[in-house]
Amino acid sequence: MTDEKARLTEENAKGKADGNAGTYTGERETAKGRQPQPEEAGAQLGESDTWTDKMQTLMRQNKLAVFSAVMILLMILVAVFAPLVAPYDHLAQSLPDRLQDPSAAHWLGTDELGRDVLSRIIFGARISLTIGLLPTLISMSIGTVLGLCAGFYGGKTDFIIMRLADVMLAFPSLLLAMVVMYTMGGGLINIFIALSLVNWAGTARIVRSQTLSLKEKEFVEAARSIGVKKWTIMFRHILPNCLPSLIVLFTLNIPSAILSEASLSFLGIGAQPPSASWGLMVVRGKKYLFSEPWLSIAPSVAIMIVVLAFNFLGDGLRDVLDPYLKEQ
Amino acid sequence: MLSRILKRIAISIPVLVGVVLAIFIMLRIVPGDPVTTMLGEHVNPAVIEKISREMGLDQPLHIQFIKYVANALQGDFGTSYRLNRNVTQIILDAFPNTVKLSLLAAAVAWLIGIVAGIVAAIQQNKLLDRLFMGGALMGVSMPVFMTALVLQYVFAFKLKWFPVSGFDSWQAMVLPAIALGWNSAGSIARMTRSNLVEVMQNDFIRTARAKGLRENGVIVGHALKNAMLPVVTMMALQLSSMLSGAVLTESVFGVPGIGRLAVNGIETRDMPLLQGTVVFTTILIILGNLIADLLYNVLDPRIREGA
Amino acid sequence: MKKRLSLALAAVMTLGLVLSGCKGGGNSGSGGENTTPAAGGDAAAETPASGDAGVDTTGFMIDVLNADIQTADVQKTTKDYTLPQNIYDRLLEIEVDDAGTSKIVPSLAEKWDISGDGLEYTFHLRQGVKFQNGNDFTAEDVVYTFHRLLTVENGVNTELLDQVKGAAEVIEGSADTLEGVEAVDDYTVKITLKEPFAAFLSCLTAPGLSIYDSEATEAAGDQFGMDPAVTVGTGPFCFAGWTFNDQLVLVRNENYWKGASQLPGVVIKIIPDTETQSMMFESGELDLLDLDFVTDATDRFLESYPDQIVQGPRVGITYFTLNFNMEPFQDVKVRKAVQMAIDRQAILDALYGGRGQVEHGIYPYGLIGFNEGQTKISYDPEGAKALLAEAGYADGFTMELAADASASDTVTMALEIIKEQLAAVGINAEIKNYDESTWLETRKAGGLGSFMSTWTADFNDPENFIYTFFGNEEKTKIRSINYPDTAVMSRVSAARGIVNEDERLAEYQALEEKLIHEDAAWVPMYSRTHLWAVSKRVQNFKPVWSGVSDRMYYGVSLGE
Repeated sequence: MTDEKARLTEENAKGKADGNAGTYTGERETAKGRQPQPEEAGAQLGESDTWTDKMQTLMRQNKLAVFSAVMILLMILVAVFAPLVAPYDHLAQSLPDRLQDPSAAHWLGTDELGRDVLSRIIFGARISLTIGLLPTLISMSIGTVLGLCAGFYGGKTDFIIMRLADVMLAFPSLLLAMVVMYTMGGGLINIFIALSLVNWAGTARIVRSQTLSLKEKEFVEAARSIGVKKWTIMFRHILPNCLPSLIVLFTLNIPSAILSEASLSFLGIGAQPPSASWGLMVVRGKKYLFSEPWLSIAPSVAIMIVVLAFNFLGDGLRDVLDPYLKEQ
Repeated sequence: MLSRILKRIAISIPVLVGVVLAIFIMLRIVPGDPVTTMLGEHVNPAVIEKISREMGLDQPLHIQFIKYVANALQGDFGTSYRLNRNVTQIILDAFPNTVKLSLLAAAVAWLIGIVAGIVAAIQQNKLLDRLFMGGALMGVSMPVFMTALVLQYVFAFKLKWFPVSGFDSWQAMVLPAIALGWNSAGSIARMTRSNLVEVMQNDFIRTARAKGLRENGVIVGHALKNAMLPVVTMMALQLSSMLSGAVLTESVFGVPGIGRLAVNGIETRDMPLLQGTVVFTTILIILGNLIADLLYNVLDPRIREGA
Repeated sequence: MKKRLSLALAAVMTLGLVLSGCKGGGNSGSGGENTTPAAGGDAAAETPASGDAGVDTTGFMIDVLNADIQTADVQKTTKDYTLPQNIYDRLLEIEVDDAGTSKIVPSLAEKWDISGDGLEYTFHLRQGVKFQNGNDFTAEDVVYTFHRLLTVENGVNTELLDQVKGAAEVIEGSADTLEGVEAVDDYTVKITLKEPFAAFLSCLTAPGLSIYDSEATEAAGDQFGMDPAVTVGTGPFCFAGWTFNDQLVLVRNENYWKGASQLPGVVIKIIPDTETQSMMFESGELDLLDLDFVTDATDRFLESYPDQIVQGPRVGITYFTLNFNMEPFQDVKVRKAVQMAIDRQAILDALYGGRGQVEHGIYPYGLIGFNEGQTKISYDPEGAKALLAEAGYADGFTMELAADASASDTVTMALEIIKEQLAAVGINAEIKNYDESTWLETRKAGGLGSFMSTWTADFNDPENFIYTFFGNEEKTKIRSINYPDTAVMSRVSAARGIVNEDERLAEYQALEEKLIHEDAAWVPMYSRTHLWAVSKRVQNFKPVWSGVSDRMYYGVSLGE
């Protein structure tokens, strides 16, 4: 195992958590010269039984990742069943009760309009998790399809797609998101669009490089020789083998989307009230940082837990799933 | 080698053009008349029309674009709507502050990242591994502006070790650098850790161990050296995220840098300023990556030979 | 490259400073080397910032703004008044006595005569006043300044001189000289209006009508207001430095005609983040903090620094609109119901700690024409429901609350509260978020739903309020009110020409009664108190009158 492969792996894992996804630029050209060796890349491919094995390894080796997975699951459950879990209506104002300290009635106090902060965080989980999951899913789907096409067809298709990806990757992602929001205005839907547009290129690059090595593999050659259609090969044969990397990438991309939303809200071009994303709650709460610190600290902690959980889970998954690290 | 470099440079050019084009188009499809937004409520329509004409906004898009690129090539990013000043000049004035901030932040990121990464690698899957990785990841798990505020609150406001804002002395630079650097430390730590873990499986490390070198000596002397190469090139990748983070850090600490200009551009809907800032920053990143790639080629013997 | 540029810039500015005679801020021997930031505790500067031209700012007062200004040329801005207020003078000024009543006082114009028909104003100018560059102030400068206001590129205050004879022709370009403004001799200016305009004297106190030096301003070209060295006025402070997004520096004008300021100078830091501003003030890095910037922390400031709060009325009204073109606001009963359904006191209490007062008309507290005795609108949700039922909307209706994304969080919060209060009487108000430019354009086209905004006075006269919103069909349309009664609007327009002051104010108050209480044309919300926190060493800081109630540093001094 040489370190350029490690570098590729790091590329997979890198940075998506730093709030600035899509910064894979360094790999741009060098990736071409240093494709992972087919036999390594394919080492675990096609062995369907390994999935259970890997999960068992994960559980044995990395309790933190398992714990993180449980946390995430819990958060998702809370978000889904928010109306049942939340003690109050998250939109119900009560001006006389504004800015109350945490108490038995309001565990995390009340906000500037007298709304229950805990309930808002619980409902906010819906928005923030959606912001984490949905744009990531969209952008990665775009990236996967483009990466597959680029890797599989090669030639001009490859060139055009990868140059497009280069352009996308050259932007600092937050600035690009800012420009998109400038053009389209604030609001949740626009955040979805901005984040989806910004983050596809990293995925495309990784899928492409894996496709390049996979298409030389025997099982692909075999499928091709018996006349299986190209799209079938791409989606039935190659894509499943990219899945491990994609899962890792997905896990590590989610927190960056959540953080990007918070940043955009800080700049005043993010979510708009009355919808309460965690990011917006932090931004609005921070005005009371000195007198009612829980208003901003509570949603910050919520963000932190989710981001850390996804990071730990992603790291754990990469240790067991990622083809390039597997060899050791 | 030379042809490789030239090829690498040649490939950056279409990317540059693409970047400028993308920004240009995105900013032109903004709804609303830019001049009205810019001038506010006290103006009569004749003035608005006159100014639109003067700014060339009545010309077809492709003409505007060609003019923009032609001027940009000569280092002219146009005139700010709001400031009636040359955008290039505004950017160059703010640039040194952002450079200082980014370099200091990079130093912080490396310090935290590499230390945490090494400890985590030695203690792989043990408690210390989790603790140090967790510590390094803390920085990325909070919104940057909150990290900045908390640092500011504790170390400037409560402990009074540093001034609350500004960027005109080394004391004032400490907190912004930590806020921004910590944010990038997580990925460096993660990469250092995984590279070290890998390198230590290698034969030559086993040999070194077999020769009876102490564990720390093995790591520092051999493994680290080998694991650092990709980490070094990661610097360029960090540039992009640094500049993104700078937008927020500069706002919190009142640093007059490039990130602030982008925010100014958005807040005052000053399209030339926003456009110039994004294009300039992106060019920086492309150049940074180019240099990193070339460096990597020079530094890594295998690539040098392989190419 | 970079360094050379900034060096060159510094050199140019230092040169300009020497020429201007505004050098040094009173601290002799301040070369270029010893720049020390007055703020920042023990922080020592390593390099002087390029825009400061090496001014020694020791002993200066430190103020803060949350966003940098765009220009110091007041003819090109409708909001950056801080510098113009302090660098330039106007022909007349507004003075507020301790009882809060304001009157017009002489400034660059010593006295004035008005012709019987209210059309001709003759101003006798103060003699011996010098600009900061040493030039004499004469009638020619007034003529130049007003002409420039109408013709300067990117000028945005042309409206201020709309009533002057020949203004329209100059704007259109069909006339070169402004017919209505004439220098009779060096110290007499005659201004002729195209029709009587009773508010004209008030209008002349507007920051937008600050007087420039014809020679220096012409020579500066578009650098006027941008380059501190060439931006001169007759005011108490000289513009000495500007580092974008960092700070603005003012040094006192030693030759100010009223006597030099006691303050050697002022540094205005640019800090966007509100919590940073709070911490800076509390750490002693600021002398002055406009509590508007930290609205949500005001209570805490009042508690922590009870002796360091200065306040004054802000002459501006916050209003909530009802678009007559939208269902079902054609019905006066529905409009009245909305007036009654909004608990304005509760909003003022929740968002501003009750600092201010609920308004019931068009002219806010502190403005000439403010009517203490007018009809009051009371919060009465039951009455509102009854009115809605009468109007056939017993089950309520759906309406739009148009939020401007660039507005402050406090405005957004107010909309959130209004939404809840309207829901209580059965009206389903939906908040729709617009980005700033769409919001402005939709409003201009007359198609914006209900919104909340604040109009602050450009000058102290009811005309500036009622005419802006209800002056004619166009005016009411571009505010998305679309008030339909043209007879009333003609009266509003005609009132501008009533020469007799008592008659004029009576008419304005009658119109206010008609518009707000009979027709319920908008929901008056509240006017607010403007609060400032000052450091212990600041003495005699008073918020000046002016709609924006901006800072006037003259008269302030620093103790120990």
